[in-house]
Amino acid sequence: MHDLVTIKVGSKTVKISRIATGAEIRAAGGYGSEGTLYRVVPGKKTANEPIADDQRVECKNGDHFIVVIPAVGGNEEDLNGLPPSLREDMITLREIFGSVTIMTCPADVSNYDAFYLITIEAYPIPPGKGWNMSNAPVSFLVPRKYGSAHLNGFYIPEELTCNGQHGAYAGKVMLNGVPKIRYCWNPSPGTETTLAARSAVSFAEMIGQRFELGVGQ
Amino acid sequence: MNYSLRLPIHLYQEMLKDLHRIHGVEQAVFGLAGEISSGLDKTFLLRDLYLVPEDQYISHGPSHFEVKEGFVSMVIKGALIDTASIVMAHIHPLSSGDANFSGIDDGYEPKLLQYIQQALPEAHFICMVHHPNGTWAARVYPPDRSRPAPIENLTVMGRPTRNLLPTNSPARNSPMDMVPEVFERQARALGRESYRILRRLKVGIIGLGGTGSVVNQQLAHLGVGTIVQVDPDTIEESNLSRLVGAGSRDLGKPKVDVAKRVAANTAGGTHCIPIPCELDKPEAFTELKTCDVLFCCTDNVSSRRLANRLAVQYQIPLFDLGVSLKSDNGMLRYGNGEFRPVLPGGPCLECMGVIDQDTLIQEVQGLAGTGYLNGEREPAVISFNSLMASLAVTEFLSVFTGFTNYENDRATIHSILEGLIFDASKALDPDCDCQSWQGMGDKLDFPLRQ
Repeated sequence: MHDLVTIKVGSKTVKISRIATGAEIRAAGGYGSEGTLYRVVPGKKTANEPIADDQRVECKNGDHFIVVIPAVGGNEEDLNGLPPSLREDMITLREIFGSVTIMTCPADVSNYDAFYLITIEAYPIPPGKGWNMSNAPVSFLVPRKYGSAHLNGFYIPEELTCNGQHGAYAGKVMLNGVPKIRYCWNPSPGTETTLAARSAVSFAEMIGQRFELGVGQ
Repeated sequence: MNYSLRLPIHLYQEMLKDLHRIHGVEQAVFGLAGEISSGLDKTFLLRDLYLVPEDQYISHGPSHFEVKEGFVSMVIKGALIDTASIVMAHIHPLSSGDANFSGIDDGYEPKLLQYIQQALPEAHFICMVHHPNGTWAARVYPPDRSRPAPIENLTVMGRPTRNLLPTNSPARNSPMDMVPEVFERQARALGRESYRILRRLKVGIIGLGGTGSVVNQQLAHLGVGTIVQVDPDTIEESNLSRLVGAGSRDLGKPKVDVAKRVAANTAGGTHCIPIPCELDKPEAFTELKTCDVLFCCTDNVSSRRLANRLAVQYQIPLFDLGVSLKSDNGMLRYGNGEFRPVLPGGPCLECMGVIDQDTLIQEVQGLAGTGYLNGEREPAVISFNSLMASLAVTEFLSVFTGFTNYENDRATIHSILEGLIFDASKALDPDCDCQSWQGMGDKLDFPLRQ
């Protein structure tokens, strides 16, 4: 009997063997197998002691144990607020490039309230052109007046270089607090590229052509 | 049950800054909350924050976050220590429109709730979602239910105090109040919204003597919705020179009755709750703890100390004012008017050194007496009282309608003899007792007298 101690598991007060496994303590409190068991350590903002199910611990009278799961939240990306054509293009972009996000434009871009920011998380970089990565995140701004306003320019990571350098018409800028290299596009009026720059899908494909050219364009 | 949440402005700003720490990425902030219960109303009081360090995320991105169990266990431990409820706020950077709970939130909150309730069967779980456009959604899981109820009002307590009105609040559909002709000119100065703000406020006045009676009159003229008037005293002849609204026919009547009559005679239709007792009696305390703002207009340290405790514990802005005069053979030798705001998160009267312990014990030991210090009547002049009352009411308007341009919450001393104004502001004392009371609400016993 002297080997029994009184502990609290969750809000239940229970008697348990002085030496017990995490699984035994968890079961004594009526917890299932989900989550992690912690022994509450004194101190309001100090870390508690995690205890694995197969770990044998010495319990003392008055010990308090709790089981906790991670806190999870999220947000199904809601494309409904986007212009219909952009919504469709987002779906197409994901079919082509996989993970593609769209967000309100960060405030370190001038006139940020006029744009969305689309990021293709792993844009394929063509091999054999001197680029030092096989894929990289590529971002570009999309005007909120999508369809009538052109897209222009894209952002790549600072560390993505071609033969050790950045190309012509490229400059260092901050995007969402991170240094990026911005490539201008400047499609010529009346050309095919002008028309392509009206669509996020064709614009994203045009970025590949730019990578094909390497630096110097 | 109608639910509200009060957020002291310093905690609200800290929470907001952390939620926006990385643009376009979901982030979470946890907190602990005390509460005030009154009938069908329950108001939560945010009193502490747990900002999630980057290494405590399992992962987070544009459309999700996952915080490690170890961090969540620390928040639960904090709630166990404070017998508090748990707040979890996060941002939805990608959603269109306004803030709203997602299907993911709907699915995971009840799961986490189970674990919170197994450790804390009495705790509420308050969930908030923020959108980069500034909107909020808020809801609460009561201990006995797995389905959440909307939080109707999110009030940021500070300068200015404002209601963020969650997107899921039923109060959002209330029609806008029209400004009646009687308040038209006032609204031109304070803003059209000021009428609605003042109309919905419940203001407590502790002490309806020389300063409190002026505050009472001004609040009623301004159109404050409800005034709780608390004073145990009856009217004496020596009060008549400065007690607003009192005449010789009122001798022997409770001061709160005259205050009610004065307020009722204004055009604003203020609802009055006169309570002829000390503030530490249950009938006064029950009404005062549900006020939106308090004015402390007493002439003694003991009730000032209790008013201060009430304000801090229940996160109610308090405006403390008083006039202290000393005379010698008919000559005024000393005359100071003092004004001190006690706003949630800021220094309290004890931090400011206003609660003199020697005077307190003198008063407590001689409590059966007249309430006048040392049994002597101090000098009193209505204009001195009115000066300080007007200052306090103007500061109240500044905090609640935001019509002023300054931000610091200054305590001031007005030297009546010298015509000078001194800044008497003090910083919050981290070792002050108020740190253990603040935002606890009903979770901590208030020192009531039976």
